[in-house]
Amino acid sequence: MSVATMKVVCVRWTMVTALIVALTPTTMTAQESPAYSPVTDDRLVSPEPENWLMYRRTYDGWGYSPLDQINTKNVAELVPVWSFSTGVTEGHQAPPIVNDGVMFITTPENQILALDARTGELLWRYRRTLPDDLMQLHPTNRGVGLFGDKVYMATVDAYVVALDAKSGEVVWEKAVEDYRNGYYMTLAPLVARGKVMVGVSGGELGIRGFIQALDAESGEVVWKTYTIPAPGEPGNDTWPGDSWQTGGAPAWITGSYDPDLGLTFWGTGNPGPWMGDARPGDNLYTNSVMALDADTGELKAYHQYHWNGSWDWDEVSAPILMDVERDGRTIKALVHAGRNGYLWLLERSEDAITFVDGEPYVRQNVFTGLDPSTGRPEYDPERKPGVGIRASFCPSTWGGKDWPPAAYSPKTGYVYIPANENLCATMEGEEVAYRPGQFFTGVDFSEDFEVFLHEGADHIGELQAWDINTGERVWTHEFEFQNWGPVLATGGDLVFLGGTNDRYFRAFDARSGKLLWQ
Amino acid sequence: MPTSYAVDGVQYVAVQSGWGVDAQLMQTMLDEILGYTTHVPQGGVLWVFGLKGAVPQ
Repeated sequence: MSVATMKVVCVRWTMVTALIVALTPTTMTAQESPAYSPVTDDRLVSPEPENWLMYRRTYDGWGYSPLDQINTKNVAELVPVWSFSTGVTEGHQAPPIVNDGVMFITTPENQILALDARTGELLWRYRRTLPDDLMQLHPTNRGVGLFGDKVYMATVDAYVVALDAKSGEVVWEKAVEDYRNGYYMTLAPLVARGKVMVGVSGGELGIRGFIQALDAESGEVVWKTYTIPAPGEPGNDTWPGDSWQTGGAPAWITGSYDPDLGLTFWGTGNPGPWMGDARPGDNLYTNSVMALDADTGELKAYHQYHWNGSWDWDEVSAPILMDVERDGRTIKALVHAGRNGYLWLLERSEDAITFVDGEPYVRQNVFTGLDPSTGRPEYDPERKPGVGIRASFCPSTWGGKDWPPAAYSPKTGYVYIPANENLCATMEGEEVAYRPGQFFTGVDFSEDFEVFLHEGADHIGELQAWDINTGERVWTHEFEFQNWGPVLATGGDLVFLGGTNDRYFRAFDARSGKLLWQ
Repeated sequence: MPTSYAVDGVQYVAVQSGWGVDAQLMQTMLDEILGYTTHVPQGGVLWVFGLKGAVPQ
């Protein structure tokens, strides 16, 4: 914009401003960025309906917006209002986070863009110089955390960065580990009680997983809790020898949080190497939900979904916190659509997580049954790959559902699961030696890994709606091809879903599953 | 991941497009099984949707 033009614009806006001042008690010129509303603990616990302040909007992981201006009656009229090209390609998994008219998105390569949420005008952009020797297994990022006047991002070179929300200036950055040892981060931080909490990725690279809390103001470490216990700690005896040191159990999806219990709930991922017979034992706390005290990081309770993992079924998705009616009582529940193809219902309390129910939501041929009181699965030995042992199993390594989160609507009472059906895999393992930062899966992907469609398959992707109170699937929308879409549920009785390979973004009737808009 | 928010009383739905490594690997394997080639455009765009009339002036 030329100087002359700028002067004209300034003059015009001054006139407009004068007019606005005369008419209304508050003033805001469109030339300035929107004022930034400080984010407080109270606002995070009870966000305003018009805002989306964290990964799944609320600490309970619902992915639900109460807004109903867009609803089943008018969604057919939905049109693009603005778009913004991020300047990079690869997996754009981050939710647009919005705080009183200011939007933040993150992108691959750890950019943060701050935009006017109404117009898409760019307020500021953060670009990160990533190390030349960084190997990115998963070049993505799942969004920012907000607190006070700052914006937080976990980076693929294992840093947490804190920026001023108005200016985009870096206030502090702290490395949580050395990326050269295979540690990286892709998750949106969980921010609660003045702490920024992050989990690490690197289950394929022989890490020992952990979750760390940093003080939101200073970045100083407040606590660090490993997802694999050390010798002397309970659960370490579920690992042979030194295998616990490189056992994986990454936590690469944002945890849920129960403010009443003061507990954060984190899902943990696969053990390393991939073949369970290379490390016999239950391998705690891989493929589990861990309840960590938000202030101290102390492990208060856990539940392992499946023991001695051998299928790369990371159970990293954080559970949905909701009330469920079963057997005449209200259960404070954790609901988890597992990568392992089972839908899990657990009960949470201040010091326990107990199994209530589990049933498959996709074809699952590995578990022959669940222990009725603990939920511990029994395995069909023909379906468990090992070192030199080839086995086929359903669902595939990507599971019934991978990282894309399910959603819950308190209006319909349904849980919406983005699933993939009819996809199975065959895998065989080999011996592998640990080298820092190198692949530690023990599977030769070119020779010993393949995916196949189950006989008779007529579709793959699904959007499923479940009534957890009755344990019944209410409706299913089938897609010919796979579904990698996170689910958004809204108060307008809509469910939004992208993630299919056909360039469509869709809206469904939340009660009936009818496709209303695409 | 899609989200929804409102500014000045107007509701929007926003989502980023752009697929990554695992989606690509799955697509490649499906193409091999099914015997054809699928070209999915990369994306890399933030989309914001609203009801007609929500376009800012």
